[in-house]
Amino acid sequence: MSSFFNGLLRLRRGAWEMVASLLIALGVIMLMQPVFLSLFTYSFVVTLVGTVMFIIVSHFPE
Amino acid sequence: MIFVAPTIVLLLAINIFPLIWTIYLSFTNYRVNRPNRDVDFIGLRNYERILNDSDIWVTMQATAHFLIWTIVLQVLIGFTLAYLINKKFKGNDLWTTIIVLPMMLSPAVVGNFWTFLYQPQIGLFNYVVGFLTGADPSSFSMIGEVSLAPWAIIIVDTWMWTPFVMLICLAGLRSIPDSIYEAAECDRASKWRQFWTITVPMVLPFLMLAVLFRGIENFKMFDLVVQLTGGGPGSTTELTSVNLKREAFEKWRTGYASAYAVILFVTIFGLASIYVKALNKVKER
Repeated sequence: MSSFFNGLLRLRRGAWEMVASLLIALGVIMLMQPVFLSLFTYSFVVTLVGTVMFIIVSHFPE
Repeated sequence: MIFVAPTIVLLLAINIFPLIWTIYLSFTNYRVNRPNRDVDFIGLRNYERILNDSDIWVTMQATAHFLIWTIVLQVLIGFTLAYLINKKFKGNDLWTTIIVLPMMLSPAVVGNFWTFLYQPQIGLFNYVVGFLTGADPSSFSMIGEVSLAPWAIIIVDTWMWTPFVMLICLAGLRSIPDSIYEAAECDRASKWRQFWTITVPMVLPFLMLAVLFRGIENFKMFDLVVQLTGGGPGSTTELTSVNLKREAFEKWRTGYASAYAVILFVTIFGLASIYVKALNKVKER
């Protein structure tokens, strides 16, 4: 766990890609879940942030 | 450079330009059936409307249901078929050809003849279900009932595209050298253990590739559903691409439909990014 936070602080690709992937997955779940309309409303913002973040952090050093 | 120039020009004209133009249109109130009307820039209003529309929310849920079940069924059946076909037996090639046939048909043709198979009065599907369960074949309609229609499209898509998953799995199975199994035999590993420690890990990258292809294809599934149910009954089987087509070419809300398309694009792009990352990790192992 501490290596993950170290990776975040030192701007390492693995840790940041994990954060971006989680955001994308969360966004897709929010988009397709059948429970709360408000989650659906904010799903696109979450997916977009995750996707843009993924593109940026994939250029970070390993 | 000069040799790749035509490809780059084509790529720009067919892929990049329409994408940028769609993003631009998504911020406007443009309607393609009113070309002379002034086009106003309306900011994020299209996105706001879509993401607060409960009908689109229901459409997304229908798409998720379709996507999850088709992938689960196709992976399970496709892998099982590949595993069986990989064994050496008489008529192996003939069976492979027969299994692969549905994939070669046009989705419009498949949709058309499955509507006949699903006919309550004369349909073969209803007859077989009736024969096996004892129910009256004309007592249910696969494409006419709200509870059955989503399963009707799942069955047809699974029937049509399981061979594709099977072929990819078969390629994976045939890429495993016999020497690994021979070494496992020497170590007295059971068939069950060989399956979980050799077969599954080595086929996994192929399987993930199949899931990626089928996931993206099914997220934008259109032709088969339109031919089979037309999105009905009501809007039970109206998947996102069918709904998008209605907004764009029946209601002619081009700006709105462009925003809708951008939302779908970002979702698929995001999912594909995660997936490619996961695939690379599996390959590294």
